[in-house]
Amino acid sequence: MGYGVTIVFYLIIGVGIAIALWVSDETGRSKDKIFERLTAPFFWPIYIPVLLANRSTIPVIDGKITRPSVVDGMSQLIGQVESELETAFGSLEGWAENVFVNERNRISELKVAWYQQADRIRELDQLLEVAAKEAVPSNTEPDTTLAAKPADQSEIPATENQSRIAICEQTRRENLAKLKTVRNQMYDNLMSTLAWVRELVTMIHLAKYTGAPASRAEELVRQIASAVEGLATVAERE
Amino acid sequence: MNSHVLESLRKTFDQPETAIESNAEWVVFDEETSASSTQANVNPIEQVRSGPLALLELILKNPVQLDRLIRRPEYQVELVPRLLAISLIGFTFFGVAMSLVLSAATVWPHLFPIEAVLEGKQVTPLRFETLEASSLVTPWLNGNAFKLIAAYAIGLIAATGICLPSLYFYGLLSGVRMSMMDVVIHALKSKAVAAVTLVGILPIYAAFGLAIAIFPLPAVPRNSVLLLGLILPFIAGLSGTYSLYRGLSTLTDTMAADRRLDRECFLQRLVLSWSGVFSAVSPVLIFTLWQRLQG
Repeated sequence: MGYGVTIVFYLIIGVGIAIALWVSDETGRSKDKIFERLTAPFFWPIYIPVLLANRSTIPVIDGKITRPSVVDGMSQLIGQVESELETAFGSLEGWAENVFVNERNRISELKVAWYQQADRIRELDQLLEVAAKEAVPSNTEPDTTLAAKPADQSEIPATENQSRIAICEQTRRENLAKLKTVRNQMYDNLMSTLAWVRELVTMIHLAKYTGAPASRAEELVRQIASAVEGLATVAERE
Repeated sequence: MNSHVLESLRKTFDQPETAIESNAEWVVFDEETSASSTQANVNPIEQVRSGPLALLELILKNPVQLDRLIRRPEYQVELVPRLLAISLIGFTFFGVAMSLVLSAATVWPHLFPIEAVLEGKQVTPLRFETLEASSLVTPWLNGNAFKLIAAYAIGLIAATGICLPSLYFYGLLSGVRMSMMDVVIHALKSKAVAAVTLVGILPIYAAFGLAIAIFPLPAVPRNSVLLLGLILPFIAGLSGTYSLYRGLSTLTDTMAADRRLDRECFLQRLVLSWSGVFSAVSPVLIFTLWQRLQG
C-alpha cells in the first residue's frame, strides 16, 4: 500500500471518528466542539478514548444505565444526596482530592447500589400492589357448583377443600406480609444509608472549614465509600 | 455502616475545641486558612472554562493543580481538545518562527528520501541550500513555510498518537491503575507543556537566528545554529517528559503502599523508556511528512 493510499484510509477513518464524535455529543455545546470535529480527522487516535469514554455522569453497571426513568420520592432523594456528595467532593480540591480519586470506584458503586436498591423496592411495591388487588376475600362462600359435579370428581369432601384453600390463602398472606417486611427493611436501609451519607457530607464541610487535616477528610470519604458494603451486606442477608 | 465509627466522628465535631487541643495535626483556624479554603473552593474546571488562556496559566503557574485536574474523569473529555489546541498552537508558533529564521538567513533545508541515504546516493538526509534572490516572503509564497509548519505540528502530535499504546502497556507493567483515557490525557498534557516551553525558549533562539541573518557566518556554524533550531522541539520536550513523569507518579497512590516504593522507581524507568521511544518515532515521522510534502 502506497503513501497516498495510506493517507486516504487514515483520513476516511478520521472522518468516521469525527462524525461519531458529532453524533455522540450530548452536551449541546456545539461551539466548543468545532475544534474537536475539525481536528478529529487528523488526530483520531487521540479521540478514540474520548469517544469510548462515558460521556455522562449517569451511573452505569454492565453497560446498562441504572438511573430510573421513574421520578418518585426515592429517586429525588438519591439525586439530592448525589448532588450533595458532588459538592462535598468538589470542596476537597486543594485539600484532600486524592482521597476522592482513590475511592471514586467505590463511590460510583455506591451510587449504582442506591439506584438498584430503589429499583428493587419499586419492584416489590408493584408486586405487593398487584397481590393486594388479586387477593381472594377470606369470607368467600363455598362454590355451589362443586355439589353439582359427578360423584367421582367430588371424592374430596367440600369442607376439606375449603380448609386447604384457607391454609393456602393464609400462607400466601403470611408470605406477602414477609415480603412487605423485606420491602420495609430495604427501604429503611436505603433511607438510613442516605441519611448516613448526608451526615458525613456535612462533616466533610465542617472539617474543611474548621481547618481539619486532610487525614480527617480521608476518614470521612472512606466511611462514605464503606456504605456500599453495608448495602451489599443487607442485600445478601435479604 | 459502622455505628460506633459514626458516633466517634460525631463526638469529634461536638467538641471541636477539645479535638483541636488533642490533635496536633489540626490547623488553628484563622483568616489565612479561611482565605485559602475559599480559594481552594473555586472549581478549577470553571477557571479553565473562563477563557482560552486559563489552562495555559494553569500549565505555567500551577502544574500540581493541573495534575489533579486531569485525574478527574468528568473533566477529561473536555480537557483533551483544549490541551491539543495548546500543543498545536505552540508547535505552529515554532514553525512560523523557524520559517522566519530560515528565510532571514536565506537558506532552506532540502530533505532527501531515507532510501537515497541508505543506498549511498546521498551522504546526509538533510542539506541547507542557499536561496538565491530570495526575500522573507518567498518561502510563504512557494508554500515551503507551510510544509515545515504542517510537518512539525502534525508530526509531533501524530507521534504521540502512535506511542500511546506503548505508554498504556508501560503503565500497566509498572502497576499503575489507569485507563486509556488517562494515558491520552497525560500524554497530551506533556505535549502541551512541551509546546508552552518551546514557545518560551523561542525568543532566545530568535536572538541566535537574528545573529545568523545579520552577521555573515561560515556555513558550518550557520548550519549548526539552524540544526539546533530544528531540534528545538525535542529539547523543549524534556520539560514535557518531566511533566509526564510527575503526572504518572501521582497515579502511584492507586498501588498498595508496600509496593509503591519499588514501583515508583520502575515507573520512572518506564517513562524514560517511553520518552526514548517517542524521541525515536517523532523525528522519523516529522522527517517523512516534511520530505513527502516537499515532493
